[in-house]
Amino acid sequence: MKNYIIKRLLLIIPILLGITIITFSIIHLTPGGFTTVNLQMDIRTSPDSIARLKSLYGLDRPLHIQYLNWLKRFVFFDFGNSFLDGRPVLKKVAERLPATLLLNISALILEFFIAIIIGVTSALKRNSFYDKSMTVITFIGYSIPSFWLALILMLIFGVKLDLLPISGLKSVNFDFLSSGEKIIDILKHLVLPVFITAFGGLAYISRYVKTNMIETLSQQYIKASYAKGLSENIIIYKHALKNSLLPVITLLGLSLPGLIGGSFIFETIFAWPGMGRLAYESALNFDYPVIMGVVTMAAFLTLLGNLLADISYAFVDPRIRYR
Amino acid sequence: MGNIIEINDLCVNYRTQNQEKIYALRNLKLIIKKGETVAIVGESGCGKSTLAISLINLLPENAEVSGSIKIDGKEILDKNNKELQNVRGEKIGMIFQEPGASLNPIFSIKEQIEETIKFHKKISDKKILKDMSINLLREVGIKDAERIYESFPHQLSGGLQQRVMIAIALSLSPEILIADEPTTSLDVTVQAQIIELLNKLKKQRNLTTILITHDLHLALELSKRIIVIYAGEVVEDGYIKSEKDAEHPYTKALFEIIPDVIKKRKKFKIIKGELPDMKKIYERCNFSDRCNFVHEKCREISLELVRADKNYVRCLFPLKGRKK
Repeated sequence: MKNYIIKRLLLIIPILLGITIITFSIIHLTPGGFTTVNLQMDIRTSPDSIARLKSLYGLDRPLHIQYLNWLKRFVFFDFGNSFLDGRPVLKKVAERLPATLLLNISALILEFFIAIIIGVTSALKRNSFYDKSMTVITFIGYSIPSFWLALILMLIFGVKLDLLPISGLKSVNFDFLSSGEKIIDILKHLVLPVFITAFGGLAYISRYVKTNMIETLSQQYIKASYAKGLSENIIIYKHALKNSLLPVITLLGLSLPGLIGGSFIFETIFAWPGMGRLAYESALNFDYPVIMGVVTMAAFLTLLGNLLADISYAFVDPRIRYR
Repeated sequence: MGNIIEINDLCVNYRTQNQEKIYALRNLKLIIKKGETVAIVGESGCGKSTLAISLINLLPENAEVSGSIKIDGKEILDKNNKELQNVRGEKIGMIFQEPGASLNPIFSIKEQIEETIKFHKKISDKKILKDMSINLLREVGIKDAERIYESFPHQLSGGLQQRVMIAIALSLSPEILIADEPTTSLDVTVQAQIIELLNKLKKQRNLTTILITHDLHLALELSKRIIVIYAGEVVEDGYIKSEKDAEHPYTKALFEIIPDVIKKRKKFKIIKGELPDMKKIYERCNFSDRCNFVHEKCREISLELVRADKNYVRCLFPLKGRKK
């Protein structure tokens, strides 16, 4: 097991290299570029100052040299400074990460919790009215574009009913609130984004759980458990549920990167101070170090998520032992 | 001795997806006495396993049941899962074919034996549970019971898995043991060991044993009373030791197809033809199309199970006893 983990961790290195090379090439191949967007639009900028800026950031060197320089710093976990405001990339990310994590972890917990309940109950009441209506509801959630739903709900709950705040993480008067009110304020801001994020993912996970549950219930060991005279609760919630939730671990592992990456559109609509917006803003401004930082971290966490999913498999399923 | 199992007019139909009905068991009558060993024999699709799971009322959702099954005088067909909890496991232990599939892959043997005892006997003391489990494992002939106790199903051979299943089935000291094709997925030497084990256990524990098998040879090893089922009906019921005792042509045919190593028969013998369409109920002998002794009359009337010479036989012209 230990060897397996070490092997998998080492395997992350070449994959990460590949990902950074591709990302690096793509953002540098994109028409425009940092100097174009930020200086050349202005007719007052002299060609000389553009050249000076390029050499300052090393943008005049060949692409592979630029990449190697970036890589050299990356090895020491130095992602460089943002072109825009000169602040370290790590610091910028650290500022944005909590908001994204808060939103996505709450949404993920809610999503899996509800989806597993829906999946299990619809498997038990297969083809019933309940099952069919759950299918319809979850598929509506899956098909509705989240930005559209977000706007509609903002209109209803934020503007018309004036129940919930429509954007941001905190109210304007946040600093003047008592600590209890602060928590309530943040929770209020969380309701809409969390609900919309979770709603969209319900169909996928609940369907997955449902099919697994139905398949598990048809296994012979379930029949044998009935023959042992065990109660239905033990059979369903111990024997069937545990077996049918095994594959869900993969889904959980795969949703880890989403936790960190955030959603560009979504965070922009809600003016959510998260990673998605950071990536979006830096992409618009060709802020290369920030883009590279965000992408590399997301890629690393994706790979780590996969590894964690594989490892946790071995813990819950005794048939799996890695070498 | 009293009757422990009384089955009367048991009919089981399966509804198919296109709303057709498969008549798996047709007016089955059967009485089994306490302590008796019975082998139920028949070819695939004749209703053997349906009969086995009917006995603990574990038929799938698409099954329709009518008639009556009484265990110790108590009707079980009208009971729901909860009411059946003290019949299943406590009164009747059951083992299935493919022991590997009958054990939950993600729980240890320890867990799977102990959960049954825990649930039924409300014992939670770990030491007592362990002692009980180890004793059960020893009783079913597992030598290094301590190691097997800690193992997971996939780490055991098929023979060991079936022994574990038997241990679980016996963990609540049931009076009846139903073995549904217990040796089908095992190799021949292991088959013999399992049958030997069942033989030993039924004597030691005075179990009423019901062996369900397609293998007449195996049935004879364990049981004196043989019940032959064909197309959902009992066609012969009696004490059969060898081919000479067979009174129904189908039983005789089953004897003839047992491969014989000594005689070096070059070709496997088969019973020509196949089961009649189980979606229909015919007013005639169901075996008539495949019978070597068929008579015109066989195709005209349906038959009852009546005594021929020594056995009860569903045949107009049994091989022994009754003459026209």
